[in-house]
Amino acid sequence: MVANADDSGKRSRDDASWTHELVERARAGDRLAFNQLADRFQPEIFRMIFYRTRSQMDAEDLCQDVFLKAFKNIRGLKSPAVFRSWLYRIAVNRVKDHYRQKQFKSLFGFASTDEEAFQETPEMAVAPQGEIQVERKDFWRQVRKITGVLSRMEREVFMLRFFDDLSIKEIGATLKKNESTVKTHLYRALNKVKEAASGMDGVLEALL
Amino acid sequence: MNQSQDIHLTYDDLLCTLVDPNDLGVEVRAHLDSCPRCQNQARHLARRYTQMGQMAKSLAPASSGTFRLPEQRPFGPRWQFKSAMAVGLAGLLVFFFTVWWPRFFDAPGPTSPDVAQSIEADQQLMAQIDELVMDALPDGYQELAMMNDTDITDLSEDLIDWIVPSIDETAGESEPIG
Repeated sequence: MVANADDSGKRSRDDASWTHELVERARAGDRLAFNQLADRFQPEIFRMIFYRTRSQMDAEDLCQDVFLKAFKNIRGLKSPAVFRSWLYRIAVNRVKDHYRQKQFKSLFGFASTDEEAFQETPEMAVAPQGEIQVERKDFWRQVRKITGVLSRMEREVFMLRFFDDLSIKEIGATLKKNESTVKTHLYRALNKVKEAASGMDGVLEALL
Repeated sequence: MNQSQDIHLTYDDLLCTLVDPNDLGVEVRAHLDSCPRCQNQARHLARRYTQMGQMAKSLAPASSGTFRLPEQRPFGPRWQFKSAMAVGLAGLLVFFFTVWWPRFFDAPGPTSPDVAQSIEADQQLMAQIDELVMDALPDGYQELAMMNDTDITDLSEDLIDWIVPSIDETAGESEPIG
């Protein structure tokens, strides 16, 4: 058990120093190093965007945009230690822009609104058959329900903490808020989620 | 045990442990450190939210492609062609703004046949008016007018009266003397 914890800590330190080195090289213009960084962070950034858009196609496109933007601006990154938060910040802003564009288009009837987009998408429907599909649909429906009661900031903090697994400090850096503000929003969000989940019957009710 | 052992953590306290255990009050923290039941509840609550995150992760699709930066291409013939086009376009613009455009504004605009005819008629009328102004007096008077240039000091008053009869004389001719 102790050996495992040591291994995990060592791996984490190695991972951090490796990321640090890649970021330094990418800042110096090393494209190969940036591609390696993308390999390391793409899955989690993709998931993060998917949680918010619920569309695999949109998530793919926005993820590409996020990394392209990151490469263009990486020279402006002050410290390699905050690379992950910085990347999440770009992603959060890109998702916001995406919804802004959608809302603008919906004004002229070119696209569905945010709320409509939150419904089940074709990508979600292309899930494995049977029980898993039902479970998936049920899960996202309930996530939508519990996050629906939260304010925008509470929802962002809640998702960054429990879905994207960011620390309070990282969330603060991502949203440019101080840690106590993040904690306040998270605390309020947890209270609201508990209330919203109490009347549910499904996967999340069992969890929460 | 002491009193703090009997008062267990409330649900709000448990949520606080989830946000940041360091934010708990000293007494509550001390209780949590020594109460296995509350520790268990706090662990259980944290595990639920962790499981929710893990479930979201397992139910999200995987990205279908890997990100790669677009290849950097050295400047080639295509780039040279583009720059030549840009230089040519810039030259055309300079020519347009410095040479052709001022002339365009200075040059008289094209006139239609009707307008040209009207202008010509106006010019002819102006010429006739000029002639009339030049020869404003009848022929008899014209000669005298021509004599303005000669010395007329020796002309007698009679001659002048003959040319321009006085008002009294004219009145005498027209009205009978009574």
